[in-house]
Amino acid sequence: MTRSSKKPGAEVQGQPGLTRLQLWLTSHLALSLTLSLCFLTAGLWLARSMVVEQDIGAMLPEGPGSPREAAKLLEEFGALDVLLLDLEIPGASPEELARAGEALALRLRSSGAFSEIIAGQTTEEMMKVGRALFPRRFYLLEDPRAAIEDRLSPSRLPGLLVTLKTRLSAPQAMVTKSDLLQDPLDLDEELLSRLSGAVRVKSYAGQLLSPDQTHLLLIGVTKASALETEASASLLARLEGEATKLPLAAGRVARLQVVGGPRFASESAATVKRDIVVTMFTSIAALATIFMLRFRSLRLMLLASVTLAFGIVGGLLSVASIQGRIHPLTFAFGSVLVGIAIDYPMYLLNAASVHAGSPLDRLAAGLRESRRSLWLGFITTMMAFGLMLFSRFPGLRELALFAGTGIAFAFAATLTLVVALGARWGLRDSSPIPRWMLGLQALRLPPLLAWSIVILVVAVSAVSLQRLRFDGELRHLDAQRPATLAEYEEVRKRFGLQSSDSLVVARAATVEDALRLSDAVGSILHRAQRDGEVSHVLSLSSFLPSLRTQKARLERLRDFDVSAGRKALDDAGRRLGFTENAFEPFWRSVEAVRSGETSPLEPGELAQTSLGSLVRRLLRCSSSGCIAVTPFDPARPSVIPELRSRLPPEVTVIDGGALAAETVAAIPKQLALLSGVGLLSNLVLLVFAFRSARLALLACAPGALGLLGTLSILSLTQIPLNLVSASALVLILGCGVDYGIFAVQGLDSPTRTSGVEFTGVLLTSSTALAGFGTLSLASYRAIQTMGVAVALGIGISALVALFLVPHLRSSTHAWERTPG
Amino acid sequence: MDLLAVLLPVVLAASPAPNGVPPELAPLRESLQRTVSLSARFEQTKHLKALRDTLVTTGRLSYRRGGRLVWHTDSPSESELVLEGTTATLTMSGMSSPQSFDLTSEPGMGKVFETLRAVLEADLERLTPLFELRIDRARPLRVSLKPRSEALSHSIQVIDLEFDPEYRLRHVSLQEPDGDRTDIAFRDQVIEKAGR
Repeated sequence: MTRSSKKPGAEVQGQPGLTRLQLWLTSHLALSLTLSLCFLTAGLWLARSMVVEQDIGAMLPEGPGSPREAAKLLEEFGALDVLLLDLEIPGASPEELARAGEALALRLRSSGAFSEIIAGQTTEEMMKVGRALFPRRFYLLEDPRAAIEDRLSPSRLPGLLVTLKTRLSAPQAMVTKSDLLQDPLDLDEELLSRLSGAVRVKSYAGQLLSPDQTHLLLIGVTKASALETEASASLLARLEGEATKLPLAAGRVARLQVVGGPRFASESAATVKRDIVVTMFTSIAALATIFMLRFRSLRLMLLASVTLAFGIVGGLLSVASIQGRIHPLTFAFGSVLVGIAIDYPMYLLNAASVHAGSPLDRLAAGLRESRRSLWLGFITTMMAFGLMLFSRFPGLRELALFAGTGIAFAFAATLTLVVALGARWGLRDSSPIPRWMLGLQALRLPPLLAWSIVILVVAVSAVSLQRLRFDGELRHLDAQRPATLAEYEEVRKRFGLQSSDSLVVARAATVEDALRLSDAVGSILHRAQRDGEVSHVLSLSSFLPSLRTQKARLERLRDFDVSAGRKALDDAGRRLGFTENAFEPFWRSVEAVRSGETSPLEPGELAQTSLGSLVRRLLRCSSSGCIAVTPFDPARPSVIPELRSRLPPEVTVIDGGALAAETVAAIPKQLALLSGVGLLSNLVLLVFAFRSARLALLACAPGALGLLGTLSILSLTQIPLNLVSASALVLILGCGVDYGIFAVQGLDSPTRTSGVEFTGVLLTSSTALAGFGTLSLASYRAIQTMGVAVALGIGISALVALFLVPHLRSSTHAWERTPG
Repeated sequence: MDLLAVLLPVVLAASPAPNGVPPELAPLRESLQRTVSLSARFEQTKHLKALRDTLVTTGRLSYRRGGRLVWHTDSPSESELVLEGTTATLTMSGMSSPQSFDLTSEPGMGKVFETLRAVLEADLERLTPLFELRIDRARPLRVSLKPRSEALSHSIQVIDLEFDPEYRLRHVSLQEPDGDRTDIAFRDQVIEKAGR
């Protein structure tokens, strides 16, 4: 142990201002503590007024046509606030099930928790749609003339008339007879088949039943946002009991399965809470163990933790004052990043512990000894976060602001309050570095082996990095339980529900212009569907074409030779037993359209039908114009660029997968660029600080090798990087460079034998592992993946700093000494 | 409505005759009250203005009291109508999936099927106000039903029912307001009756 003989006044020469402040704080500790508490309380109070941004899309660049706008549109077509309620009554007939579904829908509607409960279409609703569409069938068919002529052809007409006779003989024909005779060519069937793209589940007695009629589906749109997790949890708890309140026949038991956005959000919140408790307690336990092993004191752990409180409050304060809003992910991830600030008091306390004198003297001596490393470590960290402020991603800028400011506050607290508190309560007892820790210094690697390891890491990373995958799907970061996700998929599959991650957005000044674009889009996408490029299209053009399109179809109908058509139909009808005037209602409907007596279909006419809500979703107007949206599912991702080239230039294609691939995947590229620039800046700074390029390179080696090693392991184990784990790479670099700085300082320090720097790196890397490594225990995948990546990176960086850097240094010295 | 006509007497017999039901129907009511299930072959002949010739189909009717009723039409015009509670489900060749109607929602079709449901449930309280019952012949029994409501009279003008001496339904004739007519003849009836 080195004993310093210098007095506190000696440091005054170097940093008189700081030392004076430390002395003042130490002598006015009560006031210092009061001021600190006031600062923390005021900071938290100000932060309370901040808006908590729930939209993860807010972390993406915004503006017209931006990824954020695209993400918003996709979210609107997603199902965040939607619950799928799957009711099953084993052994019940479809009729019983439908009755129970009706009762359940009634209960849910009167509960006040839902803004809408969607069941199947009632017969009345279906007939309302029919009354709006069928008289206008000739406006809605793509080519009415061709459709009629095709059906009047000798190959098709007899079959159609035989079907008509079958329908006329059916029991319900008494009611439907006039409709059947108005459409002897079954043109309505074509309209209905187009609509089947819009209505994907089958209606049974006004309820949606699965094809095997054993399950019933209700779709509930919650009044509260799914992200209001307490409201979601309470709603789910209430729904649990609903199945038992249904009026069922004796012996029947209803089972209600509830899946969807509110359940995911509620479970995610519960998972996060559990994760916080698990990781917090395990990391506190690990930290306590480290402090006990090294300092034999938990008091010092509390002392060091003061910096974290300042760091988090400082980060919140800066984001509150500059942005006025924060995303929970920034707060969670940023707080973890601020956690590395515990390294500063750790270094300080470790360095101080080997000095003699009063507690304040020891701390002053420790600070003097580690001052350069602390400042270099702090500046390099600030440089990394400073660079992140130039990112084009608001999410990364917010994170840099929060974590950078937080670490600055924590660093300031280390230099001031920790010294004052440590002088009073911290270093009263001698706590020498345990022998076993110092003994680790003796582990030596032959220089050849040390260099071989470096070359191996670089070589493996050069090969494996090309295979490293990036998972840009933001939803994979959620805390969705696999079992819940499987339940959700099971329900969706059972009822044939499809999702639309791809949209074509047509913008125009008026409804008519938007519908014209939508017609062009619908035509191209339907052709692509016939060619197998698209699996599903939901287009307004199927049931609400533009007026121009409808007029063009009217012209096609006017081209039709009615006399010839009449003759063909009458002749075929006569052969099959129909009377001469049997099809008069059909020809009257043709004439009504041709003469303009039946007007084209306009959006307002569907407003009161069950298609009204669909029209409102797909066609939106505001003061800035109208948009018509066409959701579709590409058969494969490669189709998107091909479709883009075929669609009108005025429309925009938004694809969830492409958004992830093109936008979110740009984040790691940004991070790689920023990390590279950061490493280079650190190198320049360290060259300046050490006056030696070799030492600067050595100091950067742990961070660089930690980063490469982590990426190689992730690549070899086929674990993809994601948005969060990629952001954590900055942390690996930051910590690794800090370890390198201390390791290099330890080699050049006159007090090298004290082992302060070696044990400092050992301790801080252990605490970082305790803090971040335990995150890999989390079930929230965003946190878990970050824990794995950071634990790997810090572990490798620390090993390099502790065991490779000294030997790399000695071998470079040897080369320097070798003549020639 | 042919089905309605077929099943009306079944249901008429399923509950005690309320005031206003002629006493001559008591034996029929008593006979059918004991009916647990019924199954019969039918031949339906439709006389439609749209067709020069009659449209003849055959099939089987089956009915279980308190359960479902199935009206199955044989090939080549194969179809099946199932009535259960408030739902009518129609299956027909060429249809991608069965089509169901909720009888409570649509005013036109629903009214007809609702009437049928009332018949199936032996709800004479509802049938008596809907139809004027006239006994054309006491033995073998022949009854005619005339809708009282305007809504129902748009679909049905009159229904004639003929029974054999054992009060088994033999023939139904259904006249529609536009002049179309449906005749249904029943044979091979299998009736399961409850013991006294």
